[in-house]
Amino acid sequence: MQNYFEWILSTALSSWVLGNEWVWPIAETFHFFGLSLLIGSLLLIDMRMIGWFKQINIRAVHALLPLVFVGFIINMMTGVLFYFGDPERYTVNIAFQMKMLLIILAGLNALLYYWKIDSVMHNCGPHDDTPALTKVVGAASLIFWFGVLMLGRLIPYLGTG
Amino acid sequence: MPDPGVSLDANRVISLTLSLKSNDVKERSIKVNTFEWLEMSPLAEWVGGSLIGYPLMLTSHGVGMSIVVGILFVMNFRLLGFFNGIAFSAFNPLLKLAWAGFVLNFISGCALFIAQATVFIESIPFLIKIAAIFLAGINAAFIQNLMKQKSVNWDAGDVVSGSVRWLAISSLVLWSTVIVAGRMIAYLDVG
Repeated sequence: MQNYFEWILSTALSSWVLGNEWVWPIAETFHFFGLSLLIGSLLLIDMRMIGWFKQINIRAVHALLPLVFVGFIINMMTGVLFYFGDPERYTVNIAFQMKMLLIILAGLNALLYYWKIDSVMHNCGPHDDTPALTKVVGAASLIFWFGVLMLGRLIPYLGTG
Repeated sequence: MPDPGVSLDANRVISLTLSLKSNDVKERSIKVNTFEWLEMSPLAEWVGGSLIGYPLMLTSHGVGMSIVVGILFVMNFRLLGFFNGIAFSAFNPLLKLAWAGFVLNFISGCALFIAQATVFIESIPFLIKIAAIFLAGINAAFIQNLMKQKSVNWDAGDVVSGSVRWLAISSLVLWSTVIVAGRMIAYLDVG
């Protein structure tokens, strides 16, 4: 593990994050924009999948997916900066580990959406209620992503190691 | 010939200055005492001192932010011409949810504020953040009112006017200011 940390800390990226004090606050600000874009647009998609807000045309919500991806990419990139700036602290932090686990689960849930739900949503009437599996995938997505947000906020407070 | 209204003798000038100074000191001591008193309140001590108080409020503040800013960003993009498939009228119920997020953040924000009231009240980014929230809130109420009146017509094909688009752009700018200033509170020197 020590070799791994030494390797991360020897990278140019790590030196750049640690060597410029403005990188961290600016990356944090972008991380907050990214999370608002990601969770804000997912909120609309997922709530419609659950069957709430039927005024929203279910065939139109997938148009919001690019906004979700933009938010995700911003947060993945800024997240990598944080990790390279303080690898020892994050790696052993329980909140961070659970956050990463939830992101993986949210990713698997998104695959399920692509394989099973996307076509269902296109066949659904624009303002109709949704089938059970669609509701479950939408609810799971909301739970995973709000979990990611909350665990991220708790990293400084939950036990390290 | 000087205006008699402004000609003051030396004694009066000194006494006026003294009274201004004493007022200033008095005002300052009241100000400091108010925020010190807030910091010593039981709620502030719970937020600042208990194991879960501060993280709970900070986490709620993050959840509320994603709801308010997320929904308003999508709505503003819609007003600017993106995501045409979503009806304008569909945003009316969503705006109620956005206000629920606003209330959550007002409450959690007050709790976070009183835990360190004397620090926050002297922080420039904090004051900018509060001013931006105030303006963004008024802006959101305006847009909500317009949506109630016009969303059905917009859905029927009426053009969204330039002034409404400017409201949407200022909403995006104001909420972005809130996020940037909020993040900077922890980094820029206080006072």
